Amino acid sequence: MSLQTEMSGSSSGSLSFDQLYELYATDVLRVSYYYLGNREMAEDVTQDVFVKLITNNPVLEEGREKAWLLKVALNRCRDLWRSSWIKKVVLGHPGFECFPAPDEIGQMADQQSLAEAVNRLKPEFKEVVLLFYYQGFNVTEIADMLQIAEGTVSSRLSRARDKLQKELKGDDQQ
Amino acid sequence: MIQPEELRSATDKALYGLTADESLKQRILLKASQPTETRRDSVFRPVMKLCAVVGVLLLMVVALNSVRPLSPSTPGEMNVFAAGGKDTAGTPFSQIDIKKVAGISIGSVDYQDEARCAEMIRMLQSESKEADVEIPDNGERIVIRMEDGKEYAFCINEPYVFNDEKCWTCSGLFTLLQK
Repeated sequence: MSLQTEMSGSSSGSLSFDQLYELYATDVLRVSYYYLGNREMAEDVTQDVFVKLITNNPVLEEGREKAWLLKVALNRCRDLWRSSWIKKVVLGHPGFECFPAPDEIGQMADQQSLAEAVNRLKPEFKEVVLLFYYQGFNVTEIADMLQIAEGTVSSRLSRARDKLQKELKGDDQQ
Repeated sequence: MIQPEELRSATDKALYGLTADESLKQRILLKASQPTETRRDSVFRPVMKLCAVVGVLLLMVVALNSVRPLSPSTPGEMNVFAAGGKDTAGTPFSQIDIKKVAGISIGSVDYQDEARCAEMIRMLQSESKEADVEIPDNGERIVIRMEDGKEYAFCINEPYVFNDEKCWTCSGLFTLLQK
């Protein structure tokens, strides 16, 4: 058996690497992109997450695979965010851009506004918004993933929502 | 106005072209095929950096010691500021009552003559001057024995260089010791 096949077949829990990649890699990539605003960095994070999955081969509970992948991705994003290099070189510039389907270019101002507003949130707000509204986790699950109290998740969600609505209203008025 | 609840559908549209494709998958598999090296790097790189820093520090200490001893070479020796007139313990030359002066490489010369001892002090204080270049310590010492039995060892390098805080020269000293 070749190395590649061997690794492609490596599994964590009941799902193989191929299945996990197929199911969740795009989510990991997009969450990382929301966080970092840079496609190359988001791809690097996605790569790191799945390499970790292969090399560490963690035992994941069934149904918890996505939570593990996103948790590792957010940790990696946080590390990158904290490093001064990315703040100065990449994140100091407005790099967030959308990648719409060709037939929808110019017809999705609202969606683009929302995506950009989420990208502009502070990391602690962005994390909960992405996990709650984008990935569909509940408050308890998010608290577990981010290792913070449920009350903190709720208050961050509420404040993030206010901020988003202010931003989106501002966009509408313009 | 669009609501945060619509983030999933908004993202699917706004980031439609941002997907984890086959090339990224191949990159992951390629990277994962070199796990040993990567993990070894993450463990050993900090250790190697630390070793390099310690190594450089050790080299600096050795280099500095070869140019200028950081501490007296043998127990009981004291480095003395030749021009400043004070030893490291703050004893001025004028208060050192010389009973014996010995140069290791030129042999031992006893000075019982107070006048010549005074001349010796005068030379150390007035004629010694900073050397143009630092000269590595060659182990040469001039030992001055005091009345109370205490001995002060001057670091000295041939020809006539005192190696204390700085390197010093004393043009008449060698001649004096040979008399």
